[in-house]
Amino acid sequence: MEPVVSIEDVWVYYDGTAALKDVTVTITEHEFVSVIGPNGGGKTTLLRVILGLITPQKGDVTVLGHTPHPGLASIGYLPQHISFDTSFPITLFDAVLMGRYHRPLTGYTPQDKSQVKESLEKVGMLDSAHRQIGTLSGGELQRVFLARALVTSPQLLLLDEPTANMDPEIRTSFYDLLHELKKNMTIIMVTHDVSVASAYVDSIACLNKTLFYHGPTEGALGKLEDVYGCPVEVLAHGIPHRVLRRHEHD
Amino acid sequence: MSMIEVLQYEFMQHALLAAVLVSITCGIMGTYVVVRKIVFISGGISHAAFGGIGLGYYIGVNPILAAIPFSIGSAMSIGVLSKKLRLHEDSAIGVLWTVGMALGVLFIHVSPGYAPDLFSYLFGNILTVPTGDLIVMVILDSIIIITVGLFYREFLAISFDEEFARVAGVPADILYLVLMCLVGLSVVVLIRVVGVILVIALLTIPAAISQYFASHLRSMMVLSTFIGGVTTVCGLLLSYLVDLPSGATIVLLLGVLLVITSALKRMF
Repeated sequence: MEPVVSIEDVWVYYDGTAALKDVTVTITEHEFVSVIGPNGGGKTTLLRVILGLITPQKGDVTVLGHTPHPGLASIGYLPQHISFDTSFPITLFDAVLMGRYHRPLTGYTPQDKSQVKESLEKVGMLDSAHRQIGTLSGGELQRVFLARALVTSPQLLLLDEPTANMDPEIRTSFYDLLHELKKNMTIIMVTHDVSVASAYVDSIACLNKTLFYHGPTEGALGKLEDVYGCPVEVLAHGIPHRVLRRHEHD
Repeated sequence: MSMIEVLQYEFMQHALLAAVLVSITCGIMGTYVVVRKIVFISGGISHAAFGGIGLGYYIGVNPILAAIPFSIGSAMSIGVLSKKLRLHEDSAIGVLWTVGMALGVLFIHVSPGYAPDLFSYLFGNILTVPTGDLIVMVILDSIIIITVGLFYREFLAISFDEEFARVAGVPADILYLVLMCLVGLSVVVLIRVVGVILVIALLTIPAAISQYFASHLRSMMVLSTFIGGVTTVCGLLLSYLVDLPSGATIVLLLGVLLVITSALKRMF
């Protein structure tokens, strides 16, 4: 199968400090990968490399056959904690429409607008399309930003901690939605929400500057201490058991 | 003397035209200043512009014209300093704010003779706007309207969510600098009416009031233009009839209006 993302021997430094060390990973079509790891482990950096917002100092990155650069309609992105003012004067519709941006001096077409409606429909927010964005709850807001990520019908969807501020039930319905989307696209999701995510994702990658790719999740998740650098307990139903292979460097 | 007769005075016609030009600027650019949260950057730019006013006195050029390169220069430097040199934006603002002011004071000190109108550049006077300055204001307003018309989508995107705008392909860095330059130009439009020290009020209060009611950036611009226009004209009339300083009167009217609207908003 053609790889959707191919990262080879990638190093990224911020002011001389390595944020990513020798990361190599290949992600194939229709795979749902969860990237886990401690804060400051480079998870967001990895997404930014795939988006082309950061050019690695060393290594090769190919995404859907391109060297990544901003403005690729084939990638959908849901950033982490979108820091905006809830009183910002914008409706859901206009916020999603931004995802259809073309280039300077080019307006949005009727097709862009119908895509926005379709995308809002997909996440169940079409009825609220003309509400001001500050009137939404945290879960609704994430659905809107998911709609914005989906509005270009991307082949690759990148999610950065999408469920961080969600209630458990809303979280489950959000994952159900992703499960549905997975039929048409590849999904890479950065998350802290290990136990729930593991029920939905195909593979797990642990990232703490260096990346350990675990492939199939084998049901649930167990030992994470190699990545976190300290003992970690994951609470899951049933008796705790090892579900991931040891990192080969151990 | 009736109001109609007053309107026949040239200075009054100038003042009304200035009020219209100022309200357009504060409606459009004030909206960006408020939603993009660059109120104090604008304050820094307006104070830095005082350096240009001083230079104007010193070399004998219209101070308003001399303020243009200063406000654009400081707008660009705040944008570049904070992004490239990793100097905290906060500190960059403080530096430009005070260095610009200090330059102005020095220039005025070394200029020969008495500096006429100095007070009006500091605190504004809508009743003494000369034709030359009105022309400058018309040109700057046109530049602002045209640029915002062309890049409305991009400015909206970078104001709302800069990271996503970048990913979507918006040339965010360059357009942020363009936006800063427009803030610089808007400062120059406002100086004659409220003065460098009170410019922030016109760039902030009308937009802050209209943000209570607007669910689109566009409607926020229209509403702030209207609020800015009404308060500027009221301030102008008060300053003519009761002989109050116009800049301060306009700012106080805006302040009262803000308190009333936020109280009403809370009640209903």
